[in-house]
Amino acid sequence: MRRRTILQAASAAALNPYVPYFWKRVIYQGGGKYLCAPGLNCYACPLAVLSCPIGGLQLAFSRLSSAMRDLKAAAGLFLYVTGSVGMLGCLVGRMPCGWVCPFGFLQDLLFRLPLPELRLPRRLGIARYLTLLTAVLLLPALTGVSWFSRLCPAGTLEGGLLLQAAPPASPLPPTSWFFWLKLGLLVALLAWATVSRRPFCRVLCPLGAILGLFNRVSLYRMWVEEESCTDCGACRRVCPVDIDIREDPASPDCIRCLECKEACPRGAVGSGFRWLTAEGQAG
Amino acid sequence: MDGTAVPPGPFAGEEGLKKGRDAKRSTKAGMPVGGWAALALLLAFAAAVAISLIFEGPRHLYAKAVYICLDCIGLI
Repeated sequence: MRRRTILQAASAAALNPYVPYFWKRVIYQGGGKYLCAPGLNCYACPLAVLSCPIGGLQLAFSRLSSAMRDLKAAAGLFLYVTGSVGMLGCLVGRMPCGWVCPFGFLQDLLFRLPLPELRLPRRLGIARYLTLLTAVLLLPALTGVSWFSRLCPAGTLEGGLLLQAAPPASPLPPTSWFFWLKLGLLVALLAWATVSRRPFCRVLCPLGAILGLFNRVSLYRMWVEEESCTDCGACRRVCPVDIDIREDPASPDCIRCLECKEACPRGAVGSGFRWLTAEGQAG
Repeated sequence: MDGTAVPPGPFAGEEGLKKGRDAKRSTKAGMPVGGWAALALLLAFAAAVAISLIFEGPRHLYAKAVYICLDCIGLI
């Protein structure tokens, strides 16, 4: 099994280790929930031990709405979540998407199914910024409701389905049309992931949108040595997000999975922390 | 000169010595401007986290995260 697959599986397990839920039937309430997960991992998941940064960001903006106004909470949440995500982004850019995020991992696995590929146009990537601006920031600020959480497929999978299968001690409200709508969205997205490379990450993920912005400034860099590159295209063929690292090594679409680096027969693709390598300083 | 002599390298001679010194300096020079900007940003975000403690940011996040989020699981 490939190294990245093993690390992704380990990361999914590390983010969701709270097995005692199955006999306690109360979600984790320990200190880990003070921290932001480095990936899209729903805090409603009964196994989760960290908090979702996108959930936190929506909470911050919902505290600006007239219905739930609490400016001190809004400021505290906003500074904390953006500070946490920002520190991660400044260090490694969008690398958590490629190595840590459980939902990205699931999409990688689904794409391995032997089905024809549906390639997505690059410009669809703008949609994840629109998702961030509207569902995560604007709508919560106007309505007090966490609209992205209401639609998030990771929440349906990790929280909704798991809690239906293993209900908590305190009874849940009955399912309604909205639950089935969310489930339908999840199924559609997972089906899409079998034919397109990481569609959620490329088109919808607001956390990926934020982290991707840091690819241009992060201390961890990607680069391509033009004199070694023979334009064989191996890097493009293995890329989980279907980009060409040669065009833009600091692309906000790049999830820094390093598949291109491993696939390059000439070792033309490099990566590292910029001040530790001479090549990194050239970038 | 016999065939076993080692040919002079790229940094041979006075001019080569200067080139060699310059070459070593460029690889051991401090971080490029971009690297310092990234570090400055990193520190700024760390400061944001520190300031958030004044406004109890982590506590507000915790208070939400330890209860089942009905929005997240589709049971609004």
